Amino acid sequence: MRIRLDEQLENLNEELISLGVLCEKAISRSIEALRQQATLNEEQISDLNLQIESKERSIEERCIKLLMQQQPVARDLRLISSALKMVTDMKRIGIQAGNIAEIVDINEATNGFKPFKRDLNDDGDMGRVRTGNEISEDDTPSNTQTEEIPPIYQLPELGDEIVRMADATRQMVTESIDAFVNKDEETANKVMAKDDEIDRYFVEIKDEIVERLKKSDVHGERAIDLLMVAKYLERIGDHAENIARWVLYSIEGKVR
Amino acid sequence: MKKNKITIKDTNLYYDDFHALKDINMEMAENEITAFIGPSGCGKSTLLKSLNRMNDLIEGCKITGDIRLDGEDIYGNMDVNLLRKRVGMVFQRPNPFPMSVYDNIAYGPRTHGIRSRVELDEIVENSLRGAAAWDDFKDRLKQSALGLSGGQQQRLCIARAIAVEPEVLLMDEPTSALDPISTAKIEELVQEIKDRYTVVIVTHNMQQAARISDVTAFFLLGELIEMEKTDKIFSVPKDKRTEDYITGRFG
Repeated sequence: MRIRLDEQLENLNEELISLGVLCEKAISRSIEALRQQATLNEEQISDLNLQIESKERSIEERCIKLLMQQQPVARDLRLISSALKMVTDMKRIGIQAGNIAEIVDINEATNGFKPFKRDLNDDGDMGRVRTGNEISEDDTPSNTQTEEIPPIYQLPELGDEIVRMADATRQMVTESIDAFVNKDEETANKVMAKDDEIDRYFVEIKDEIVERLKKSDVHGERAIDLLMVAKYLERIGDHAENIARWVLYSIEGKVR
Repeated sequence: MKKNKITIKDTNLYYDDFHALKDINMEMAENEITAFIGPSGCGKSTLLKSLNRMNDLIEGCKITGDIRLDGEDIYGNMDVNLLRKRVGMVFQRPNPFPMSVYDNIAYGPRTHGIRSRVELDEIVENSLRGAAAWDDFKDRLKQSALGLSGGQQQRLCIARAIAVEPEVLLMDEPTSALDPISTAKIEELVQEIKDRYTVVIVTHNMQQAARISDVTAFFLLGELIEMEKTDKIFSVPKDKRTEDYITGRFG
């Protein structure tokens, strides 16, 4: 009975899993870039984004075709409508992970893969920011001291905190996809609860940045980059929570 | 909270030895559309017919329990003709009488003693308007109903059923012999008239039940398995048997 529909649903399931895998890859890459364990070029980021977007579109088309051909009800309807909602969240996870990698990457590029340098004039006031490439041999060390501005992950405390936040977010994404694959309510509930943790990280990091900016204890551009990374991670957490919510809907039929 | 129009309690029905309806308990609210769904032979049409005692004519049919219309026992002292005036019926295949459109509709009111031409004209017009068929039929009232298309015949039958001003309209797969356009017209009509009537519809078309009914009842082997608000039953059915049937994984 309904062998064809069951086959089509199985294919849909497999496509969703492969989109999930792409999203996990995107977020893992952005964390590696954040930790400077790997460097990404623009092509790699956009290539992954393209793969994610094309997979998203193909899943949407599949869902619409299924709705049209099979006029599904009950669990079939819940699965297909959840899939339609989930792919949007998955795509956004991919794109936001790419955005993080871009921020980190731009730093690398302007840096010439060297740490930022900051000019300090004789009074010790902060001068203009120069990238590593701009520092030429003509600079006379006598009137300009240079100070290294560490990359994000090396910022004291904040760096550790953002990496912890990124790891927690990645875990959330992985678990939301696991919950879908295994039709696992418990894991989905865990993911939903975890979003509060991510939100706390964001607030803590933001507060800390504000404090340090007040004390001129952190470089402005770095601070903004860091805040953006934290915000992207927080949004990724929200999308993972949405995925978990749709997993629960497809299993038990309750909209939360 | 809507008032209960029909109440069915501990109802069993037998065709000789065959136990066709088993301990049915259900209530149907006034001005709501209730759909009966289930595989062939599950008892849904049998139950529909027992709501205006159409089963009385079948030899060997025995019914126990209690079926009430506005709290009145329909198998008690109620006059069957009066019951059928209050509870009208539309069948699967349109069954116009071999007479004109006008006479088809005037037939019921005439049997209930209405003779005045003016009064009958008014009833015919109002019934056709009520069945959203006046514009299509007003210029062919004298034509034979047998010359109409299937969809038109079915709308005529609905107009005929409402000519006697029933309170409940029973419909036994009213669109299964019609094309999609005629089906859509009948479905719209059913939704338009629900403000005035309580409708019970038997359908094999799951999407039709989902589209037009407020409440859906699923029957299997003579039992009422699940009765729920339609949007609930088609998105989150409680019983696995309902789920298997509506998703087509039954058997």
